[in-house]
Amino acid sequence: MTPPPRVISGYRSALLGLVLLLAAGAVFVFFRFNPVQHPFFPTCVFYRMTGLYCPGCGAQRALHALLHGELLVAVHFNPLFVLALPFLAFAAGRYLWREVTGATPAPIVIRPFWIVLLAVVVVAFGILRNLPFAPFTYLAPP
Amino acid sequence: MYKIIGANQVEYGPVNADQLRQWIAEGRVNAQTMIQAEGDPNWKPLSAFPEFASSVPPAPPPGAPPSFAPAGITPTVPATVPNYLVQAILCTLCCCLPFGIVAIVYAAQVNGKLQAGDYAGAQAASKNAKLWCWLAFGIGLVSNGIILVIEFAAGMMQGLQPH
Repeated sequence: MTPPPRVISGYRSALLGLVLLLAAGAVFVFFRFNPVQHPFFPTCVFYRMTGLYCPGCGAQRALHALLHGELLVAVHFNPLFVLALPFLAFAAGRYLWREVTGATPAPIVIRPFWIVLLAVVVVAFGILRNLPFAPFTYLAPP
Repeated sequence: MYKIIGANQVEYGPVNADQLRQWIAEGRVNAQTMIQAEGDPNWKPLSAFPEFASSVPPAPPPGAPPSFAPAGITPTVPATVPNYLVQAILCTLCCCLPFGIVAIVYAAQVNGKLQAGDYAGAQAASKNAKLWCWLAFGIGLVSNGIILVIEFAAGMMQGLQPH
């Protein structure tokens, strides 16, 4: 006997559809267009105001490079972003799995120490990549 | 044994209580789903069956305050307190530096307080994490929008100037 279908609220399925559509659109745009050459990619607000790189600077260019299989180029643009991507992809996969199958996977509990460490790493990365001498210049977008 | 009316308005069953609990867990049956118990000619919503009242809500974590909602009403106590860590990381990397970091710190607080059994504190931190994520997202969106408009206007002006 086939089980009854899931009771899905219209709001949740609409949100899921919107998220999928936005993600597909973003992947297409970042694959097709190079942020260096096209003006419609927003430049970091923090960088524009201060002239300093924020922890996210270079992420758009890194994503473009990654979608073209250029891992080393991507790392040069923003190593933190490249490092974070597998985790973000994992989280996205869990979200999709939960929404589509209705399963409620056991929550992953991260000890607070690791989250604080993450905050420290992000801030440190943001400071170090602005230092104007080697090896820290490798952390800044070329 | 129970019969149910699925979300597609088709009758399912009869199934036993364990099967029904599994369907509840899988989100196929909720508090409003109409159920007919064997031997009872009346259809009633699941919320009218006290034996399933504990199956509908996700169980609150240990240390959670008891839910005062009467049985049958969809409870408001979630299984875990969301810490919005993923959203915080996304906001941080999408160029809203200070706000994203604040959200990450609140995310750490959520987990820390949950670990300590401070459920109410975790919920407060969770609210803050959510607030700072939205702040980061909103301010990032608005400031980027303003800059795009300014850039566009500047580009137009330059285009108008004689070379």
